[in-house]
Amino acid sequence: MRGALFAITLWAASASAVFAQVQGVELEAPEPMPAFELTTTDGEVFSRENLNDQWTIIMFGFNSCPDVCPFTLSNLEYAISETALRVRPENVPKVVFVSVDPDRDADSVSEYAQFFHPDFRGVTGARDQIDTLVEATDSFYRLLPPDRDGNYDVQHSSAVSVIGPGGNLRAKLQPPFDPGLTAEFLARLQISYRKEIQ
Amino acid sequence: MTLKTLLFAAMLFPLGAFADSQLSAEAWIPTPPPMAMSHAAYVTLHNTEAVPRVLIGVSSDTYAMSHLHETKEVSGMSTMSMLHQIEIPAGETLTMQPGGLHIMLMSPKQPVAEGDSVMLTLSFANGETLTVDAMVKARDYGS
Repeated sequence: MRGALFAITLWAASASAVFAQVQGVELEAPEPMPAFELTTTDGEVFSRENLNDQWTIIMFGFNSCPDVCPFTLSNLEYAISETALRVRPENVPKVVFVSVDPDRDADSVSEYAQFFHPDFRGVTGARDQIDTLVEATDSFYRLLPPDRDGNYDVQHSSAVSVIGPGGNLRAKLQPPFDPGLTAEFLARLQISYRKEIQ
Repeated sequence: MTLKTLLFAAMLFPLGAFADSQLSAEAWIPTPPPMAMSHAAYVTLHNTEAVPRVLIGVSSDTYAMSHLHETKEVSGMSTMSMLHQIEIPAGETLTMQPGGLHIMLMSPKQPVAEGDSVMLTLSFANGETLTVDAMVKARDYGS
């Protein structure tokens, strides 16, 4: 599905320096998200319906991830603050951290995400529900075999998915998430979305 | 060694660097989410000696386990691997940073909060060790 699904247009503004820093890829044809159901630590449901009236950024990871996940969440926090200066309040993307490691994270994923920003949501759920969203966003992950102590590592996509109102995947963003350039990318994405629905 | 030579040596090598080593380090820990069972420390290690040095391990009393680690991006996947050694060439500086080389600290024995300082002991192939206090502080963008 990968490759075939994504007839990709590189959003490469004008300067190559911009491209070097914001690795944003806008999908030529937005991809509708399927039905799925994940939950917060408190049992609040996060499903396909939640994507309808907002911009959403979905990131996959796991709480025990020492380096990349906290780095990405922290960078996203800066990027979203910057985006909030450029778009209407209702269009500020909602960041959703999806743990692909429910066995270890179901009890703490929401608090984990909120550590980085009170508005960030952390969710996880049944394996098939996680996999549905992973596949639909062209993401990947793999739980590695545990060591003797039962510790295991998780490999996962480093890109995050940008889902527009109506629940269509519209772009992927690769780290690093330079705040100004990411905000610029997201604001432009919203402009092209509005032109499209007019 | 006369008192005078000792004083002279103390002037030349202040702050406890008076050893047979020319290694020095700084370290920091981005404030970890309280529920995180593992997090990272980033060390900058200066080797001002004329010979390469090989970092082979790290330990800390604050954690059940600590490893030298590297994050790599392979075809869009973020993967981590444990490293058994990192060579620091003569006269060079090793800089660990998010998304690359880091120290993975697992199962903190007590909560680690902003403003704390955590002692890390770095071990080298020649048997030498170096302790460094890692400051726990908030991240800036890009770090």
